[in-house]
Amino acid sequence: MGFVQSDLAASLCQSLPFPVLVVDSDCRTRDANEAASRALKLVRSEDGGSGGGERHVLPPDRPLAELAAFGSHLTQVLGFRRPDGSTFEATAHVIALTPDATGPYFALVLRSIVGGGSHTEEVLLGERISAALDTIPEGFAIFDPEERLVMFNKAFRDRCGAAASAVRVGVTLERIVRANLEAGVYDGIAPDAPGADVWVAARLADHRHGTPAVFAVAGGRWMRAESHMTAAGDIVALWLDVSDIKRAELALEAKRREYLSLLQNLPDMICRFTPDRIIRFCNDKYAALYGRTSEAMIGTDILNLVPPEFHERTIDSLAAFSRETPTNARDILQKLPDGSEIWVQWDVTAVFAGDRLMDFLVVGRDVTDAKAQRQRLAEQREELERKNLALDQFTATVSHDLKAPLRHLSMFADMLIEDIERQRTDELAQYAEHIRQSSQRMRRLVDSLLDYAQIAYQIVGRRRVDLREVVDEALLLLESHVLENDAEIEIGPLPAVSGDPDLLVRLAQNLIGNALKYHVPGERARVRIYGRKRESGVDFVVEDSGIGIDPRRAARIFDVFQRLHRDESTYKGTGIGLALAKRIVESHNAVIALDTDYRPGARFVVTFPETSENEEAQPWEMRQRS
Amino acid sequence: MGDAPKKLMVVDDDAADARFVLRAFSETGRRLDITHVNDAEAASDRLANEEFDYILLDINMPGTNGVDLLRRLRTRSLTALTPVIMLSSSASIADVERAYESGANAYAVKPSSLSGYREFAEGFTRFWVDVALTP
Repeated sequence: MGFVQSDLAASLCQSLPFPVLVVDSDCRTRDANEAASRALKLVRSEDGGSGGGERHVLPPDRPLAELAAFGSHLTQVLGFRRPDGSTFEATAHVIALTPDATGPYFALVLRSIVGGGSHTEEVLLGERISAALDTIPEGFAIFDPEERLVMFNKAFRDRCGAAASAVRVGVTLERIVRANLEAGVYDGIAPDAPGADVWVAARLADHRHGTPAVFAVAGGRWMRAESHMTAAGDIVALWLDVSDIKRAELALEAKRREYLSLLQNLPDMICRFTPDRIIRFCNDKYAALYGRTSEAMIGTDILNLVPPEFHERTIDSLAAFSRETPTNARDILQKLPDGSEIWVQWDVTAVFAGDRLMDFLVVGRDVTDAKAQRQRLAEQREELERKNLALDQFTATVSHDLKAPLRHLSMFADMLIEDIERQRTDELAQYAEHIRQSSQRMRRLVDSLLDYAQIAYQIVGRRRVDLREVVDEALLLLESHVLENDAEIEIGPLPAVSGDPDLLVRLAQNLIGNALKYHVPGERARVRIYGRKRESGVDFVVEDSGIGIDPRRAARIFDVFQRLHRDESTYKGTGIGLALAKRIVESHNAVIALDTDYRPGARFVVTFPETSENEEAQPWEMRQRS
Repeated sequence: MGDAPKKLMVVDDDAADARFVLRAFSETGRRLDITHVNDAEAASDRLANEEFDYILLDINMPGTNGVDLLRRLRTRSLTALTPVIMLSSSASIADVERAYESGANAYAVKPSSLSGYREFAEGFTRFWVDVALTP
């Protein structure tokens, strides 16, 4: 029995794939087609009718007549109740049927079920698509050109979290966005915050223009909202959880900052530039070398940092890099913006990907200290070599010069014994005296040698030493000789040098002592001591008006035991004084020489090398002391 | 060769060493006129005008040393062939070679005992005085 009159219409209605419910103005069901029976899980009564008289539609806000008046092409959202009590919402066309005596009737043609899953008209027919869309983790929704929700999948609704209840077919996008805002889905945007409206407007704008947006959502997650327009004018909205990607991005950024911080904190200067010589990156230390910031350097040509006279050479050198020879190292003396200079060890590496040159990587290290150390080591090595040479000469000289007194001792002893045997007594006393003197001589020699050995092979301490103080001390030690020779001593301005104070006193003692000793017999000893500035270095001069030194013998005077005067009574000594002086001078990297042009008397000049200690705030030539 | 005693010059800056030589030679029984000069330059001057039969030459002396004097003597006709015997405290091979290269006839190391000196004096005399033919 069907309410629909004609049989054709009736069978059409029955077999329509859409649920059709015929209700009266009181929402009581008059008829339901097969599809509606299925959707409403109606139990068919024996007479073929179903649910007659019962309410399966929840009364809507507006009377059905009004809803029908909107137009049959529109759908309304209506609530439905099944006999078992379960409810659902569905969009439905409300169509007014030709009223007859029993009152107005309305056909409700259900289009899609709302709430509880994605359902399109096709899904009422087959649930495969909805099931498939429900499996994907991305939120998927279709909005019509008026921005009303047409369909959505499970993920889309779940993404709204606490605002899920707002997601219903027919709801506008704005409503959904505001519901999310209220529910605190958008992390960091409070519903009542001043920027909230701006946020909503931005979301809507992005939707309309298809601009992807990434934002933080509740739960520490990140969402990417995308929208794409279909040919029909609908907009497909996708909500993708990009938390993992975002986290990876943040981690990458953190790592990048970490590495950048590392590069900035390394003591080395680092720069990367393209094969076209354009700087892509440089750390702060590199930029500081040229007095700039790293930002200012990026994008500039590396040639700008090189003096013009080296441009061609730089270009050639860069061109010479190849896969076989990808590296080059060079030490360069660089001038810093403040005027000071440092030695930089530059390592340039050409980076190849396969055969293609990608980049140049330059690393520079301040090796000023290392170079200075190497220099010191080289000096020390030279000093050691000199010491060894002096030692060799010394041992040769020692063995030679001790032989004479030993021979004399032995001979005079033999002669003494023989004469006694022969009972010749006239020369015995002489022999005994010779023996005594020889052993004394040997002892003096040995003492001098020990003295020399101790002093000559000392490690030289290095300090700033005022030569004036050195001379004063030496004169103190030579006081008796000064008085003995009624000496006249003149001291001029003297510089400071770098060296060992004790050794330098000994040196002064030797030179001044000699000057005092070798005076012209019968005259006062006259000695002048002063300093002289040279192009590089300073001179320490000791000159006298004494007997002088034969220029032909000048070359050997610094040899150990070279004595130029046989007469030990006039000029006592063992002849090591000048050899010792030379050894001390050498350990100070200085030189000693006899000025053969000076007369009368002897002038010894010790030239100390240029060091920073030689420089004084006030020029020492101008300092005059008594 | 004649009856006139041979003239020997001892060039040594050390008076004691010269004395040892004198003592040793005094007991060889040969007549030798021994002159001691204690400086190479003085010796050079003397040898320029005076003929000596033999020269005993020390090496290490202040000022001009023995080898330099030797070289100089060998350039002069008067002393080009005079027998020169080096008498030095040095036993180094280098000194020996240098001496021979410079024209020395013999090289002896100064002895340290009387017997040593006597042997030297004896050997010298037997060869140079008794046997050797000199121009």
